[in-house]
Amino acid sequence: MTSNSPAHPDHRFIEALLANDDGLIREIYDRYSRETIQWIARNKGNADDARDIFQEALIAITLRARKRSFVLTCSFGAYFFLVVRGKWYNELRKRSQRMVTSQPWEGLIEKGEDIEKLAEETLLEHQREMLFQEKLRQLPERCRELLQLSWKGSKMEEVARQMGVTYAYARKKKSECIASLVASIQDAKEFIQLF
Amino acid sequence: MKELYDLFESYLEKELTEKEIQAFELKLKEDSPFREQFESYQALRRQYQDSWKHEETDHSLKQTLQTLGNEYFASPPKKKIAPLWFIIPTLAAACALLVFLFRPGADLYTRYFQAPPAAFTEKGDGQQWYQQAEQAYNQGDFATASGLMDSILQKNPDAVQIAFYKGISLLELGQLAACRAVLEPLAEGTSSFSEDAQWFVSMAYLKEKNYAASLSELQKIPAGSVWEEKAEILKKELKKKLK
Repeated sequence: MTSNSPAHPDHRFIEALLANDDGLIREIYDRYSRETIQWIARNKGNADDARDIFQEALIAITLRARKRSFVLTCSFGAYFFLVVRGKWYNELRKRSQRMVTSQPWEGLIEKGEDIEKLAEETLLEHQREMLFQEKLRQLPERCRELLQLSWKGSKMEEVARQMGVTYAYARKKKSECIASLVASIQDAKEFIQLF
Repeated sequence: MKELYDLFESYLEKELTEKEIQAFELKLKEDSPFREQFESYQALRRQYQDSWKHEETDHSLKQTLQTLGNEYFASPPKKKIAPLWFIIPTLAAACALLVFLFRPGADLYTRYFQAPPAAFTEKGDGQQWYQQAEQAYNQGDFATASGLMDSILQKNPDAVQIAFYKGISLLELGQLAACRAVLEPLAEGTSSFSEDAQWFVSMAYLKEKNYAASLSELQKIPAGSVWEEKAEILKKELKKKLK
């Protein structure tokens, strides 16, 4: 999965996700939706679960593909199904059901450390992103607004002006908001597993 | 901690004096817990910045995925996402009754067997073979199709879809034991072809007029399968034959 390895022809699906190319993304659904529904159904889920997991897996892959440029060197299906499987097992854990490991996904699961590592990283990064967004949403609105303005690149003088507060207050408030955000992330029960 | 984050922000926003920058960078070099805290903070900040940077494209992508998701995963899912040839068994089940009424002497296999057209969605090594195999199969040249599928399966032993059509090709060629050897593992597996493979294993027995085995295989088709209706009608016919 390094940029030195030759690209698999399926790398075009990664490009499609990054560019929101709905024609090619439709091909992903054509190829894998049926298999996903059947596998989820065998593992205590329904079509709605399959739809959500399918979508989340594609978002996770997009996030991973964007973070560090990587070249897909295995088939997209093999990578995708490992991510779907991981996502669904996480969901089952959340629902406190026992994992159903006796229903393997035959056919498209490839064995290999590289692909399994890539899928694992993809899942972790997406979980981290979801945790970060959840904790940001829990901050007071003024905090979110302040951090967003500042981290998007506005100077603090401009942030203070836009928010109608003094520069000194904006500085002080920003440090408080950051401390509160970081603490809430670190206090999350999944923090240790994700970092 | 507030002071620490204030310091990190001042450094990242380039608000420190030259002297303060030197002191900060020296601390980064020499104080590893400090460096780790800074790096974690920087990674967190970058992650939010990255999310906001892609906010619009993420939103558009989610809309695309939601639209496609509703189209492909709507309930009942099979009806929405089934390829065209999956409609055939249902229609064929209805037609089978008519066929039975008007062609009472016709062979059961001839009346019930209908080869599914191929549209290969799996692609792997040896891509040129997929197209040629699909073409040969759809033109009824099952010997050529079977040979090409062997080549594909040698390179991609896990290509379930190809294995399935290889089984159908063998059925068409009358190589019934070989057909069952290919389809039975698929029928017992958990791939999306398991129910289809189960139906065609039954067809392989039907072709050699082994009605008991054909019936026994039909009984393995689960409730709710796209083959259920057709299987129920055929089961009744087979039971009459076995009386």
